[in-house]
Amino acid sequence: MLLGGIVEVLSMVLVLLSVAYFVIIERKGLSIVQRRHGPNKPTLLGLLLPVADGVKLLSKEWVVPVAANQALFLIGPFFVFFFSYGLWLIYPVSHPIGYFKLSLLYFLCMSSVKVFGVIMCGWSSNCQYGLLGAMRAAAQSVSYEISFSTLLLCPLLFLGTFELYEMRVSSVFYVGLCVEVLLLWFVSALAETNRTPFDFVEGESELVSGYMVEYGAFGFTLLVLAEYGSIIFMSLICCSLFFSFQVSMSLVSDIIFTLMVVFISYLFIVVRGTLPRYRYDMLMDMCWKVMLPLSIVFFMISLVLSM
Amino acid sequence: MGVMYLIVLFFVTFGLIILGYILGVKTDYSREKLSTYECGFEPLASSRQAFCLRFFILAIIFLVFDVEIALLIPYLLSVGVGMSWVVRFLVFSFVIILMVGLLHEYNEGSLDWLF
Repeated sequence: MLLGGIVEVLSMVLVLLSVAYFVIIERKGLSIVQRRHGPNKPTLLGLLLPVADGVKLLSKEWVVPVAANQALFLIGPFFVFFFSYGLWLIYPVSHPIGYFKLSLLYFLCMSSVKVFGVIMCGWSSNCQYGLLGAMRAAAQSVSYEISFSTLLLCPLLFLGTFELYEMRVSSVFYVGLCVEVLLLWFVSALAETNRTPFDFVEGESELVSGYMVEYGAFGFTLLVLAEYGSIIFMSLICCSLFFSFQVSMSLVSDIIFTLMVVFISYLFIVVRGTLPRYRYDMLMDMCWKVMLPLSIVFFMISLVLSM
Repeated sequence: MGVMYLIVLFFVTFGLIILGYILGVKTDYSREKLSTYECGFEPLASSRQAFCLRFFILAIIFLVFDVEIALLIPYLLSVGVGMSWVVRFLVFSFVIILMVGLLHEYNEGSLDWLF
């Protein structure tokens, strides 16, 4: 039992470490897009920057606004972080933490509940910027969840299982059968994780910092870690659904899978460095009038094709 | 095993918050630090305003389509077993009805985001 606890703590620590390094990869990636160096001060090439960031952020002043609802203010980031990292329970490797038959369903549930955390953060801040940011973030997440889920169901019509590991080793490159689904799904994933070009939540020119505006040290750390954790997990889902494969040795297969996940998470960064942000009503129009009908049509096509 | 991971995660999160508190709590409160942020000014109005009903309508429409997805999920679990064309036709007609519903909403203007 004690040994079991150690395994979980270790996996948790490794996930947090990978997310912390993703932060520096993003900053360096964006700077390469802009033809400059990026952070390279803390140590050689800035490799200890996540440690420096973590220490700096957690040691900042603990400020809870007087006008805020104290309990919800503290629980909000906790909620978002817990439901973002609870997803990592279903990481599809050959020796997982536990056998989970309906892992994709679990993924959809946790992503949906995370929206509550966002609303809690924004509403309890008692700040107009925070509230507007939270409403916009929740509306965006909730709208894109439908096309996200529908498109996620399309490759499953060919497979018939909800287990991520089975999908990953099914060795059918669904990219061939569902190219359009992959492209549209990637757009939905960008919107779900509030990434550019859909980062209206944190549109600095519009809403200062969205629902995170009142959060200082601990809250900002948890919210940012949650966001980057969900980015890596989205690329993991993408990889296990659409680019599934299996070689004979499971360890080699796991390593190649991890490399592919990292590569796809780099795509999120490249998209951020390339595309501008338009307008919120254009985002909502695109979701309800373009992506939702298209995703239902793709579902029907996959239904027919999987005969 | 899975529950153990979630318990560990709970305590890690709690630990991060407590660490933030221990490292960062200061008692020299000042009016500027404790008031809510409004670009440097005093907060002009309360943030507890009435919210736009557009968000509520959006939530209602989301509810309908989320229930659709929830109803499609059992079919996906039986894809290997229930391969009969009758079942497939029924699911297809279900999705067609939903598509018609979406197009009706589009027509009615519930999907317009008017600001």
